[in-house]
Amino acid sequence: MEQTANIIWDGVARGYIPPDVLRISPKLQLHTKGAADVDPITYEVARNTLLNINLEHGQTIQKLSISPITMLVRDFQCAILTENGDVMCLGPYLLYLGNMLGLITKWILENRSEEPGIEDGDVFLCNDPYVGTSHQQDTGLTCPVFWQGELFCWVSNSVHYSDVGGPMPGSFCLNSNTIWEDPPCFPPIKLMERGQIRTDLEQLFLRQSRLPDTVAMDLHAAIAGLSVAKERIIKLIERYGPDTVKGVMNRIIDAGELAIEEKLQLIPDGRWSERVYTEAAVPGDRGIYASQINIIKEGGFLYVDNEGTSPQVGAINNTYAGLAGGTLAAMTIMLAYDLAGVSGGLYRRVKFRPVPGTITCADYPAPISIAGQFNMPMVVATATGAVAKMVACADSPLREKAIAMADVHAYGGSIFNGINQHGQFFVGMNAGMAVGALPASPVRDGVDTGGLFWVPGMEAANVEENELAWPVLTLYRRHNTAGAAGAGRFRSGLGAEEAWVLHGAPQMSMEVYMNESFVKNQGLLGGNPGGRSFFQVKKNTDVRLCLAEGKLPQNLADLSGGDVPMYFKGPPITLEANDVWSSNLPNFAGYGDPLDRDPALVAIDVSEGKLTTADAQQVYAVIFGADGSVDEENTRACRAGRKQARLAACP
Amino acid sequence: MRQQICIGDNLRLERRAGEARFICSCDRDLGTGQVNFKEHCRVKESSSSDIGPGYASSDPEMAGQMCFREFFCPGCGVRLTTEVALVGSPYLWDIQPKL
Repeated sequence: MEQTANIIWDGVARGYIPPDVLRISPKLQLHTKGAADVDPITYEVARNTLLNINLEHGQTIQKLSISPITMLVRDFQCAILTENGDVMCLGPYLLYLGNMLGLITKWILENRSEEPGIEDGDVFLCNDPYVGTSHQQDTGLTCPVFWQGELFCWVSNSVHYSDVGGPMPGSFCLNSNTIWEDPPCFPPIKLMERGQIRTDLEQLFLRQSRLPDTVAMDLHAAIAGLSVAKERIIKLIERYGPDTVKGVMNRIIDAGELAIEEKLQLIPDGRWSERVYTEAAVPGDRGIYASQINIIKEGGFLYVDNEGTSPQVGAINNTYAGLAGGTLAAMTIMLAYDLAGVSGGLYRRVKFRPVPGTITCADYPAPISIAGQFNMPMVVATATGAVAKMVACADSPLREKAIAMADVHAYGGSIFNGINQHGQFFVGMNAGMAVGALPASPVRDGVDTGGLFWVPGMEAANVEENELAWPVLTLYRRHNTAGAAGAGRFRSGLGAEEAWVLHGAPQMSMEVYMNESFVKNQGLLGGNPGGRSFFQVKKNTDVRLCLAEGKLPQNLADLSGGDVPMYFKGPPITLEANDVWSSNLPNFAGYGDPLDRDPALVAIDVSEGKLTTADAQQVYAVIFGADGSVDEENTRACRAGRKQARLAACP
Repeated sequence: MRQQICIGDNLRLERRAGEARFICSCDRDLGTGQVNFKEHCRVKESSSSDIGPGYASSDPEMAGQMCFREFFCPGCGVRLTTEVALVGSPYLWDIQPKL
């Protein structure tokens, strides 16, 4: 990473940006010798073994964790890093966490190698966003792997822990104006020392949480993932020798870099930008704030800055780690899609020139805890827009890999707490909207509820799993329709909505929800933006009466009761037995002029019940005949007239 | 050396008379590559709530601070790009490839 002149990016006063050459204590011996002449068969066997070790690392976390957000939704990441903290490969999980694991590890090498030292059997814990996490809940663990006294490599993971303290259950502190109103930040501490858990430090971490038992289980699942990965790497070294394995690791990154370099040759030099807007720095704030990312491509490198972004304010901030991680996530999808998670080569080709003191690169003591829900999708969306415009200017076949923007607050989730049906305190993070949607691209429609593209391995929990975990009953979960939202020559995949009612508990508190005041998404090259994400609550309804009569309500408008005025960020809402609430994750962005969409594709959407004939005419100017087929002549005439009308309306 | 750069379905940057020019698929010249092509488009600015069915806001005061801009080719009326932006903000100069 490039250092901006006269600014200390130390991970204390400001986000950490590692220097090109790390300052590592001579007490720590690094294994740096990699064989350059590994035969092709050994290379492929060892390469695939390393990638599978990392997958097993992730599967171990998933199998042993107990919180729904980790076990079911897979809100985590794992990685293998070189001895100096360069990421070699990521798992198919939350992509923006990958680079952060590298930042944490490099910070440890620079700041812990002298005192207290880095030794075999150690595991460091860090949830400090200024060092390298997206927010405090995404706590990283990183573990050195030693071979005969030399630091050979690292295995690392980041897991979203359900509650790590702070004034709000779930640790998303909407009202914070400083980091001191947030959950505590732990710069890297040695959670395990020479193979033994430091129970004092473990207890310090767990003591902050409202859910210490759940967090403890997830923490031990994360440690188990590290242990499995470390053990497998040691066995690989025993089989092939350290120099061969290190040679394979180096070549994996070099090959990834070469693949990126070849793609960059398809892109002309130039500058591309995206700007998206967000709102409400804290509940009650009526401000609107900008996130901007600019990419300059010069030869074989990409230079990224966030000039044009609003100054840091209230609780809507992330640090440099979030800016870099979110940008690299978008680049991974459009430039490293064929590298099976080997992202290290890409990272070498991207240089950041961040503007500090902004909402996407905040200085201490800005609060960061809500970034995981609000900022990180926004950074990914902003970066996606800039990268997509750049890639859309590339030669084929790369240009077809451009992908339009996902929603700016795309998790569409809500966070709530109370006493569950088993009489126990719970904190729920509904990630039902992790069903997501794939946005449009220059060559095809997006995929309906096709997931969130920067979290390939994420899955939405089944409604039955939600009902098992929390005192809720799902009234419906279904696709959106394909109206104007995300329309284009190629349309976005369809998002989804769902509605709930309490079940088995008299009340609970809804702490975090998102009801956007305006659409924040941006369409790609003539496409419509995605829709507006909304959250609705209806109080004192007749839902129980409907259920008693055997009717399953399918629309909040069909229920009696009163709508609660909703804001993007509002105060906590107490939900009671007769209340119903719904979340909507909108369709994401479309690509190209909707009037250029193939009428046959419009007809298919109509025939499948995704689009009404009225919307087909209004949005796409497609006219249907009496027999239900496309009236091609009238459609052509309608479209030509519509384009002329555009010009007449804008003299 | 590239002679042209395609930008989406309808826009390209093309070398003409020794200069890079933005050109629409209808062959309309949209100005030099040194200037934001949006400045040469017909622009419709409307409320962000009026983009189409499904965009209506529950908070018109907040939504009223934002607008939806559509940039049309003045030659053929095709929509080349769009922006959701703060009312009164300058057009984002977002596509600057070098030919």
